[in-house]
Amino acid sequence: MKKRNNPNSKWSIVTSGIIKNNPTFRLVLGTCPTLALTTAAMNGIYMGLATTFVLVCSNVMISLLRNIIPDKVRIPAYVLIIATFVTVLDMVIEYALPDVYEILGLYLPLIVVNCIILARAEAFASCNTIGDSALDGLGMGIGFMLSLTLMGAIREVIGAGTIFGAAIGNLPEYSMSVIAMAPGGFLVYGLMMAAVNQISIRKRDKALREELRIEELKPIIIKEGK
Amino acid sequence: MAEQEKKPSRIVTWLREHPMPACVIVLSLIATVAGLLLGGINRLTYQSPEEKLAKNLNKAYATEGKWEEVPLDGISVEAKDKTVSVTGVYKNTDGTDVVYIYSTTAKGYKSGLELMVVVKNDKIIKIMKTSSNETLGVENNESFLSQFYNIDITTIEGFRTNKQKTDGTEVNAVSSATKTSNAVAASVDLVVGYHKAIAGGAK
Repeated sequence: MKKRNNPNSKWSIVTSGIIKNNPTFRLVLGTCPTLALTTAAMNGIYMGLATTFVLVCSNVMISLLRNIIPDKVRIPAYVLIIATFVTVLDMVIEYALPDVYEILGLYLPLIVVNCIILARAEAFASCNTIGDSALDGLGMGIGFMLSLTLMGAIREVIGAGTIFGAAIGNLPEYSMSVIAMAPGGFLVYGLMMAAVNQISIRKRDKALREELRIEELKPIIIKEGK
Repeated sequence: MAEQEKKPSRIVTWLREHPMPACVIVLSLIATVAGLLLGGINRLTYQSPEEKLAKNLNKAYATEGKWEEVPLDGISVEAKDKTVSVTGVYKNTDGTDVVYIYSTTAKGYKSGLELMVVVKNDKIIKIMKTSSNETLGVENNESFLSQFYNIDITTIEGFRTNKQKTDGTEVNAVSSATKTSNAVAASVDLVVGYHKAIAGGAK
């Protein structure tokens, strides 16, 4: 338990990407595939797994080469490494899983420019050990996958009345297909972000109250010019 | 770790002392390794268009027999929906059964809705999506697609959804996905026309 609370422990590196620094809801990275692909829960799992693979592989490779990549060309070098792994994944999925390839469509090659991967390469892998970088990639990937799957599940249940493709009773007859479309993506994403923000604010306030030993925190309103 | 940083290897030291050649060498090295890796993976996973077609045909209708492409020269069927076209017709004689697969392309909610319509003994038995950019998965909705199945298509005018004003046997469109439903119905309608021209002349 003590180990989990240590911010430098291996476990903390993994959980940081899942909860505290969740790429979708806390860092607001990778919004394009989040909005486009979360029409169904299964899509979230496919995209999450694909991104996790690229994140782990690129983090390990960048961490391995961090001492020999000159600073001036680090971004082209990172993009080259990320693009290689994305292309490998693209070719393998097209060959082995054509149905998944159809679902991911354009968003699979677009993982190259996914902000999460470049951000983790620059912020973490370029200055940490290979093992820690792999764990960071794994945590971020799992966090991204869970967010996408949760959002996909909500949109699928409300928008199509199904969950993982299986109909829920008579719900398909009362489905609101606008939720499965683009406007629904923005709506659900906004509401979920508001919920996550509310939870994190409460958590922060609770921690602050415990630290200051006071009952309630009241916001101080400062009116300008008065 | 601290000791490692104090004593970097000779290669790392040289690269740090010569930044310009280091940029060229490192980028070239990464690009070469990436190129070799991608070349190898491509060699392992490459599928020619013919192989892809054969895979799709056998997925649509599994058979030991060989598929033959039916020439479409001289066959002219006017599509009611101008965005729909038949891109290929394939025939297979599986024992006493004669199976045709019609490959179609259409524009639903978005363009690029490609289907394979399997016609066995003049009845549609399967409609399979081969490529699609549609969002609501109507092309995979079996309760919608089953409305086209097991009807002798040489005896009917064609198909239309309850949202279309053309002639033909009516099927119910999936609510809130009318465009995709219409595109699927228009594709099957054109297949009916082609099938009559190719195989249903006697009737």
